[in-house]
Amino acid sequence: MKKSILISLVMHIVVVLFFVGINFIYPKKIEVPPRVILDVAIITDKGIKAKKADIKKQKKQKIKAVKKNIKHKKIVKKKTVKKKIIKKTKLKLNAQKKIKSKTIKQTKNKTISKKVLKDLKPKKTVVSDSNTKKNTFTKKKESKIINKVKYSPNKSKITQDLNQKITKDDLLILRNQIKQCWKVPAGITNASNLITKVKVELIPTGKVINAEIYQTSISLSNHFMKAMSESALRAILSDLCNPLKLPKEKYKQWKNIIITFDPKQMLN
Amino acid sequence: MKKLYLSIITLCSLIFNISHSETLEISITEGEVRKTNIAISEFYSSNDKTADIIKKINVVMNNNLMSSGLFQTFDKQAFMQKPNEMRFRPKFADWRPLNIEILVTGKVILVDDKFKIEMYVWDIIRQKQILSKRYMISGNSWRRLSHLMSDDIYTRVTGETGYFDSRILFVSEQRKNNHRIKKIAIMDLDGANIKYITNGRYIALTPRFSPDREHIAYMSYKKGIPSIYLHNIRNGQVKFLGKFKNMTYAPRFSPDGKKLIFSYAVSGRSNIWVMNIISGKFTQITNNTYIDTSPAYSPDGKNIVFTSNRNGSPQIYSMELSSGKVKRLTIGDGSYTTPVVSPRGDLIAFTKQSNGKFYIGVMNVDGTGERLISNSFLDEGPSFSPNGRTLIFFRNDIELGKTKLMTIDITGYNLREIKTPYGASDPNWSSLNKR
Repeated sequence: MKKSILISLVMHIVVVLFFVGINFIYPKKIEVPPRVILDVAIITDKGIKAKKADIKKQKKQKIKAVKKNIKHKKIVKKKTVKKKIIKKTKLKLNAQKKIKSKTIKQTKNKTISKKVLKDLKPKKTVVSDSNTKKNTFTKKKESKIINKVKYSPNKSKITQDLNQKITKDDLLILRNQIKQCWKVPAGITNASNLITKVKVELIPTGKVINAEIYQTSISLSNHFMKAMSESALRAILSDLCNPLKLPKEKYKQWKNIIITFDPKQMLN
Repeated sequence: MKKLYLSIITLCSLIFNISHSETLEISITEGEVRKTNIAISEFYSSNDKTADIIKKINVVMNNNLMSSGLFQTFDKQAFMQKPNEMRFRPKFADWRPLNIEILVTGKVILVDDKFKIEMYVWDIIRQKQILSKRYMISGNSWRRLSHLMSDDIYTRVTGETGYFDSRILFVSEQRKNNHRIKKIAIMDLDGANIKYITNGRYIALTPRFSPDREHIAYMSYKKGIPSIYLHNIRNGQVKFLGKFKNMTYAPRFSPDGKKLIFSYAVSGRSNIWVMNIISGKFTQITNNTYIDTSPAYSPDGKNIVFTSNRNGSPQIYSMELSSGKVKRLTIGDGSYTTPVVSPRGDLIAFTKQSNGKFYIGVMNVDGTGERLISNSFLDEGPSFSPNGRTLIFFRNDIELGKTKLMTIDITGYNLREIKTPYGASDPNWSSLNKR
């Protein structure tokens, strides 16, 4: 009798220990929030990577020229983060799928739980959603995402334009602008062969941050040459020529410009 | 390790980008021909005794640069900074709203009876000092110093040699009781500082500076016979060079100042002659039956230009003195007279008469590129500025009933009158003074 009582006691203890211990061994179950149906939920490996890169490029343009080393480090870090996020999202999506498999089949859309979105948010992943207002996100978080979504299509354009070359029209506008800023010194009316090349460094707004004489056709000890080259520098640094009218999306191509000032045509 | 690989790849791509980045190149072949905006601040001084001279210098410098037609000066009332605030360096941002490009500042220090003057020229756009110069003068030479400083600014900004420190010779024509008194006078370019060389008892004409501007040669009708005189500006001595009963055109100096060239008529034929001032020897340059007149040397002394009617109407010809080879330069309608070669040797200025009007024109030394830059009822006798950029000539103003002196840029812009107390004619521009 005693034996059976002991066995039953031990068994009870084992059962109690099992249920208590299992909580320590296994993590708590995911609390599944109410279902949110998202129209478009592209959380593919490629999509995230592309959008991430786009955001970074736009930021770069805003902050002038960002050093590439730093950028690369960030990319590496973010890539590792992305991988973790993707794993997590996959796991959690699977969990969701199990629970809400019926609704998923009906809508044929991918769903993302609040928890998943909360996890994604601080790690700056992009979730495009037309029904974001319906979500329970805070307003700040919402606006952040919307902004990201808004920027993303432009960025893809910018990346395309960066590869485009500056057109003849772009150069014509630029030439006309500089022409108006250049006050040709009186001395050159009778002096030919006074050509000055000016090296100009610009920031994305089109403002000249540095201009220096790169080359002159004759020595700067010549009074005419000196006056000529200085007039060229004055032109490029004048208020009328700052900022220069250049297509901002093609900044990479006009970051540095060499401008040749040749008054020969004026002599004729 | 992964990080290491990634950083190596990044570095390689950076190097690749730099080596393959193409710099955009564009060419600007046209600009604006506009005046340079210049602000000439009164110079700073801690001594009240210098206040008067500072104001005078400022006025002359402003007038000089403004009259050149290449600068736009500004009223000092518009200046944001005062002289004492710019003792060391101006605040460039204060000058940009006025669109000032060049700023002139300076200091005046009284040392015993002399003035030590420091001038600084600033490029407002480049935010840089482009000229600093120190001068030492006595009180009465402030005007000349103003011209010198104006020249320094002009040269530094335009690249051209300045010409404000030059003088003008002319014939003053004063009317008295229906009688015209003609005197030879000398003045600064701005019309100030007039001095009379002759007293007006005899008609004096066609004054010409020697290249060193130490002497003046002129014609005088003493006792009714045209004679040439040489006047020394420094000591006032007058040397009689000879009587020329049939002289048809006034003499001009050779570039070395040792010879005079003129035209002289012998038995109805006008030819060109050269007189050696030192030896008194005459050399005949042309010998023909036509009327060769108004000769002038080229700056190198190797060629002369003159007017001749050998092909009908008076036209301009050039002659190489070594070979005697003559070339016709003008082919236009009308008559061309009084040719003079620019001190640069690139242009010839002349008077043209056509369809009842007189013109002042310029052309290349080979006769091409003729441009008429002024016209009126009577414009005549051009003379080049020392830098060859401006011309002075005289104009007969019918409304006023007097002749006056005019300057004009060789481009045809900036026609200005130089005010003189009486009528003025036959101007001659000196070379620059030796510093």
